[in-house]
Amino acid sequence: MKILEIEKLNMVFSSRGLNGTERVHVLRDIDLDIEEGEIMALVGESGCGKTTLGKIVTGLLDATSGSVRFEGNDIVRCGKKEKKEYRKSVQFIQQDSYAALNPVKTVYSSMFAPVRANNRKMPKAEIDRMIADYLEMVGLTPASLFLGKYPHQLSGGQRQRVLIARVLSLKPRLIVADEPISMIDVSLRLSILQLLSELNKKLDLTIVYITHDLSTVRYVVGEGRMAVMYLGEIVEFGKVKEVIGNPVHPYTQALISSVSIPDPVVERSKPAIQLRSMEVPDIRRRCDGCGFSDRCLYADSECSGWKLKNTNTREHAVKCKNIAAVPRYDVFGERYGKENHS
Amino acid sequence: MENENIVTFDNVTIDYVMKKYNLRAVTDFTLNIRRGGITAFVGESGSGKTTAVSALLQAISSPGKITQGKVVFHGDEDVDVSELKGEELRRFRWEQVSMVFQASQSTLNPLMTIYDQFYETAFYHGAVASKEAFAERLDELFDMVKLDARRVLKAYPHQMSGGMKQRVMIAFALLLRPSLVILDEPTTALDVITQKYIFNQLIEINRKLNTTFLLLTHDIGIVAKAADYVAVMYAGSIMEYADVYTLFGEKLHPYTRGLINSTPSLIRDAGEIKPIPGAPPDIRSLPEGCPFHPRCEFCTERCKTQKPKLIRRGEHHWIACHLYGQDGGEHENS
Ligand SMILES: Nc1ncnc2c1ncn2[C@@H]1O[C@H](COP(=O)(O)OP(=O)(O)O)[C@@H](O)[C@H]1O
Ligand SMILES: Nc1ncnc2c1ncn2[C@@H]1O[C@H](COP(=O)(O)OP(=O)(O)O)[C@@H](O)[C@H]1O
Ligand code: SF4
Ligand SMILES: [Mg+2]
Ligand SMILES: [Mg+2]
Repeated sequence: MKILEIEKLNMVFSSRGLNGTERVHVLRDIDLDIEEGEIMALVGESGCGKTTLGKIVTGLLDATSGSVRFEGNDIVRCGKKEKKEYRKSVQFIQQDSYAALNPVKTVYSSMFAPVRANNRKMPKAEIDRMIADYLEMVGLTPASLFLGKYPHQLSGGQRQRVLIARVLSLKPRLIVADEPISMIDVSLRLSILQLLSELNKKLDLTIVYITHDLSTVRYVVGEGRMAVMYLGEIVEFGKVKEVIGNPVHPYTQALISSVSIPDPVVERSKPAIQLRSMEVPDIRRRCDGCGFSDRCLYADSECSGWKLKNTNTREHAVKCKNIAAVPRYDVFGERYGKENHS
Repeated sequence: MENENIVTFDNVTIDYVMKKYNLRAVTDFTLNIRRGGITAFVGESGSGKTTAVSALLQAISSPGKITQGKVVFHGDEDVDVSELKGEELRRFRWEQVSMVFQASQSTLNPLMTIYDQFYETAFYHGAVASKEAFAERLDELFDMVKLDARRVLKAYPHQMSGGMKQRVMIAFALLLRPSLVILDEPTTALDVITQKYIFNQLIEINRKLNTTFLLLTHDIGIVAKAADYVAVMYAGSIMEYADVYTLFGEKLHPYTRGLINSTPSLIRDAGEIKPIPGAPPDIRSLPEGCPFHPRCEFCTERCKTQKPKLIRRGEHHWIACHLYGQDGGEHENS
């Protein structure tokens, strides 16, 4: 069953500047369905619109146009009661755990308010037990060691866990985790990713994992699906194994071949990326038609006037007009299959 | 004969001396940096990479001090870097050793064109023979970082993207033909396509000019891509030093192994990768013995009390771990 359906979603920010009002078209015609219980990744470089999309999904921002349906109800046009229910059921975990936690509150008091709000009549002893359970669920064991600590006494990884525990205590159905590891020490990152994957399996919790780091995706999402974004659009969508193993969109291909593989023998045997331009355009200066056409090697004269739509192969949904002409590369940058005929 | 090493760190210890306590950021740091090629210092944030190389430029941020040992630069003659003063120090920086600082894009002057900034520095160091020769030099430099000199030289920093500014900084570091260039996290915060592109350029430049690059990074993927030699740092100490293929191929030191095995990779399955247990060290209260011992799966009683020395294992391979023959080894360095 679909828990969330996004259709033709657009987001335009207007900000007033010296030269009048500037309009930034940040999300363009996003279509995305999320299945109940799935864990999905949203991948793209900084500035491509991931956080904006995550905030719209969790009701923190309203889209300019298009529809977002949560369990079949349009979240903009639904009644107050449905809206409240929806707000409670979807939660956003932000990247900066330090900013998200009150510095003068202990872990216990940060947890107390949300747990209490959800269990009005519960005796205090039981609330305390629940708090401890949530902390242990996210790997803060034994909980007694952490209850009295302030945010600055915790490592980045532990703070991120507290945030996750707090969100879990609200009993959400869907959570969006926005770059949850980008601000913590390298050696602690993997275990946070594993935690997300575990929570998805154990609690049947639907999770959208947002990241700019492609190499982390499979550890979180496993066999699940992923969307690749470029300048406000989803350019490729499919199973992780397919998208990473056999990318089709020229942007996805460039992105994957740029990710370093932590093995000097493999890494140094990869061919260099070929692009027409190495300048990364700002979303404000996205070119017309296919937003990648100014950098793409396979662009023809029609790409810049093309009205984007998905071309579906068996495994991928790809926003590229010329996929028949695009050669295929595997993770090692080896070319295979279709040849470039031009 | 030219010394095969360009810099020697000789048992260097660096402390940040604070009112309430002393923070030992770098401990007994001994290492020869080989001339030519790319040597990387890799370690998590806070492991002392920036502090260690700052000693090489007398640029340790206050209140940091070298409290033991010395750094020797092997130029035309050997120089103890901490003895450089005034004019000598000024020339040493940029002309012998230059540094692209972390987030260095903000060190560009926002009010001056790129041309003026290059000209000012070159002129100050007496490196402008004539306008024409200088223009040629700039063409050569911008060619190396694949920027259109005509366009970029007229620009102000705010008119350029992060990736362009970073390449300008690299060109800047090369301006006075130093024999050593330090690159401190040179691509952090840039998108991966740009990162990869800049590293391809850096490697090309390094091979072409035969300049030594010292690369500081927390990213083991970048080490795999670019480094020839690698020093792995943990809590201010060198854990292992090896050529890149030996380091990744043997993964001898438990921390090296942990770092490599915990790094997400496009080609490794979930079962093949595992986190390092425990948390990164708080260097204000380091344990006795090996700094890594609280997180090490091979920890013995000896590891808890005695700090392992960096001992030689192969021609270019040094390791500080009790698992690897600490009995006979006196601390020595070639
Ligand atoms: N409130 C806002 N007003 C104007 N522009 C915004 C606002 N929020 C985000 N943007 C712009 O939208 C683009 C996408 O931002 P964001 O969703 O944060 O991307 P990501 O999370 O992928 O880095 C950026 O160019 C950003 O500057
Ligand atoms: N100016 C300073 N004053 C006090 N402590 C510092 C200063 N600069 C760095 N440190 C501390 O020294 C240690 C090593 O820092 P640094 O050399 O920047 O590590 P790295 O470059 O590996 O991230 C850290 O614990 C850091 O907090
Ligand atoms: S549509 Fe054209 S420009 Fe865009 S990715 Fe495909 S071939 Fe390249
Ligand atoms: Mg974001
Ligand atoms: Mg540093």
